[in-house]
Amino acid sequence: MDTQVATQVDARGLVCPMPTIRLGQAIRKVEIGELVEVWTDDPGSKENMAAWCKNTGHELVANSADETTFKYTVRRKR
Amino acid sequence: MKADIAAVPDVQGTPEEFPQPKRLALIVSKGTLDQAYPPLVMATTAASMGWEVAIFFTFYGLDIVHRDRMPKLSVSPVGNPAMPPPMKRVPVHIPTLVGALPGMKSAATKMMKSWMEKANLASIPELLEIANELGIRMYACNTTLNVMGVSKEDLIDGVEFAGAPAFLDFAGESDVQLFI
Repeated sequence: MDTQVATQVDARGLVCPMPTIRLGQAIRKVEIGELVEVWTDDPGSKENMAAWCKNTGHELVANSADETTFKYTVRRKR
Repeated sequence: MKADIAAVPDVQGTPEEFPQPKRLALIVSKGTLDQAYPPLVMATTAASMGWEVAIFFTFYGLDIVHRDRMPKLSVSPVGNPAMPPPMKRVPVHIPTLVGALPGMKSAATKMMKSWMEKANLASIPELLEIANELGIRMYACNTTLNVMGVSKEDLIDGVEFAGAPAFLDFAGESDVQLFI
């Protein structure tokens, strides 16, 4: 299993639906098993990312947040 | 770059099986700027989640996929009690009669577009481009084309033509159907 982030998506400043759309674009460009990290400042992003992963079948492997930015790490599963 | 791999239980969600992608069927019948956003945001989000999406544009909704009218989608202060006051410091709503004066619609539209820009909202052309890119099927209702005086050549690329039976066929197999 990869633990290195293959691609980073800086979606800060963008509002729904753009962070998940950018994530969708990025995940298609990495190999299965690889990780994409999304940076966003959208306060609804926690629910949105979980829902996106549940629907697409990709795995939300980590999240973290500081004062300004939420970070989500998603593994491409298929 | 090293990622933090600690799993966070409350945001975990990974079903094991995906037999069939979900489907979203939308009818879009309004042609104002504020009514163009919800269907396009829903559609592009659903498509980004792997759903199959079809949008049927009918009546004024056809303007959203109309080459010349789409860039001019507007919002009217007339009959719109939710329209916020033009100046935050002067909390006075625009009375309907004043809203009907020449220039008020373009002022309201300009105001809304500036809020959208401030909020970093994607523009309607951008959302349509994403819709195309994500394989969203966009249909113009061919019955209402004539009613609205719109010809097939007036519509943006990627729009197909279909009627109520085709919509119902798709909607009948859909998980979510919305009329907007």
